[in-house]
Amino acid sequence: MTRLETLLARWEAGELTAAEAAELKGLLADPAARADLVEDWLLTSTIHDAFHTAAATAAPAPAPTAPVAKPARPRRFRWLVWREVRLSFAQLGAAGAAASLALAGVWFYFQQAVVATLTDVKGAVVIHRQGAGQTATNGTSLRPGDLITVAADGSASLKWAGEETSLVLAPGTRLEARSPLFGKRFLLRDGSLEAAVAPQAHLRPMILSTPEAEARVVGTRFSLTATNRLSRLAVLEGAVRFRPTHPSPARGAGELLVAAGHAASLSPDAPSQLNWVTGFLAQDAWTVPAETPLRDAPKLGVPLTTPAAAGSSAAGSIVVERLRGYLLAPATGNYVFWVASQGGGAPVELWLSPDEDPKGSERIAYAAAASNTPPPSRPTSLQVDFLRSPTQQSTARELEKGRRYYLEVWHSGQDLRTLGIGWRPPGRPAESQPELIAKDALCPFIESTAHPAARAQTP
Amino acid sequence: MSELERQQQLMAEFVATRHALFAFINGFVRNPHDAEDLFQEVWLRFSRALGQGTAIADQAKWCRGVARNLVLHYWRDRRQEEIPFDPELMDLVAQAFDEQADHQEAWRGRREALARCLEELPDHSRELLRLRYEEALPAEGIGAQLRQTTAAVLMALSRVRKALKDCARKRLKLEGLAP
Repeated sequence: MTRLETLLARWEAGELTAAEAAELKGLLADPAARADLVEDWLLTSTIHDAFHTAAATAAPAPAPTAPVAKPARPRRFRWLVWREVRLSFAQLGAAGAAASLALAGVWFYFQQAVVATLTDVKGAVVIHRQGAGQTATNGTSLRPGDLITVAADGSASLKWAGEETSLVLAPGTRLEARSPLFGKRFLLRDGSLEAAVAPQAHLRPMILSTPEAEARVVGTRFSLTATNRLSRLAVLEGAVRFRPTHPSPARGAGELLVAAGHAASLSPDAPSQLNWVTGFLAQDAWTVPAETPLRDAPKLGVPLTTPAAAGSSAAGSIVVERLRGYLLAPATGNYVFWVASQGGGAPVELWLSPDEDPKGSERIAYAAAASNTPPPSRPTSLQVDFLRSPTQQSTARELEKGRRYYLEVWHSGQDLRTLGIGWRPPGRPAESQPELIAKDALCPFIESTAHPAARAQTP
Repeated sequence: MSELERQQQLMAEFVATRHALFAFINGFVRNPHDAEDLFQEVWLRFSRALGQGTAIADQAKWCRGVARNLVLHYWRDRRQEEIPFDPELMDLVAQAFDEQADHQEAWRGRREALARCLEELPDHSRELLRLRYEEALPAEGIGAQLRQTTAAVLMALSRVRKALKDCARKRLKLEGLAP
């Protein structure tokens, strides 16, 4: 063993003295020694990785059978056992018994610890604990090993005292609580959940696993879905490390680092995929004096924290809502767009940019306010009428497959929840009726993934 | 290059160099569980910086800089006056990793060779490594479990590590990936 190897081994064991550290610094003046250090440290992490992967692949234990505490620092352990404590066999026996009792206490504490509290329980929600099922109600405490089953007509939330963290369980979800010893740990067996996770204690992250993947969270907002052999994660804030629990050749390493605005899928049968979060647009709303131009609302209005509460505007003022995000073009070609509000009486405008930069946005379709709303021009299967006025239809826009185009919809009125954005994507006959834009072609505006110009103009 | 492509490229670079970053953190922290959390924190800060449009010329070096500060905080929080956290020594280690930044392919080959060599180890050697590097037990704790003295454990660990390094070098040589 070379002197460098000896010193690195002593460092690794936490035994390096000041004199040895000085000696090591001298040795590391040599580039070859520095390369050896990197090799040595990479070996350690490779070994850890290999065993960590093997441990993740193994069947999960229902609960620790023995107290598993984070290991003590080597130096402290040695100090306790060898340097100061010189005991007789009887004393050692007593000390051992005391330690066992203490460890049993730790184990018992974590077995009995309340993992979270159930709230917003609707429909049939059952907690399976030690083989017996009990109906959950608001305020029911969840303990390690509990399995929550949410029926197809039910839903429930998990909350933690003292922090803004919640998990909302969708109908048909089965979630198992794991030991809270190293943080908040759950196994999502089936179904889906939405999580809002406040920043967690530094070394106690939230870890949500599915049969296929593990999402490690520090502080973020995301949704996680587990279906048959597919796990999907969509991150709205923060970042989540998402990796398979069972590595497979089909997907390579498979680990994904998913930042806000991105969605990832993991399946054992296909390479992992990273995409944009899709399915909705970001919402903002303001109350403004009547007659205020829609796009001046952020400057002149008072923000509403919940757009759904928009109906209660004060006399003389109106509520303006903005939906913004991106159109993710599914194919290259010419697109025609339409916009409409329900009933057709409220003003609505559709703006589109030729790229991700909102600066180039222009109004491509709109409907002005109408006091005497005429009946719909023709029957339509949609809840909104795109064909009331020619201004509701845009000219053809050529878009490129896979690119994102900044998009805004502005409208005001009493019922802000109903408006329609229609399109005729490439490949449809020119005379075909407008369809509602496909959900997976709409990406929400998320500040961290937005074009710098869009971030600058926020709100 | 679109925003998604730019972020994906930086993420891909992060993923490609994550083993070196983890090794860097773990080398200082010497506890894989804590190292994993610090690694996650670096990733979070990196993704936030990307989101804020921070210009990052050298992703690996930037992340190592963040990791270095986190490691210092980690030890400060624990009020440990440990010799390895001598700033000069930390700088030398950071320099060592910087110097290897252009050899990522070679290190990947070495990692793969090491992983295969690990699979070939006898069970007792694997168990020794598992206790030390997955369970993060100190040598004394391993000795208690395996009924060996601490010195014997340390010696055995050192031998297994050396055997792994030699095995990886031989493999790379056989495959023509190393002189």
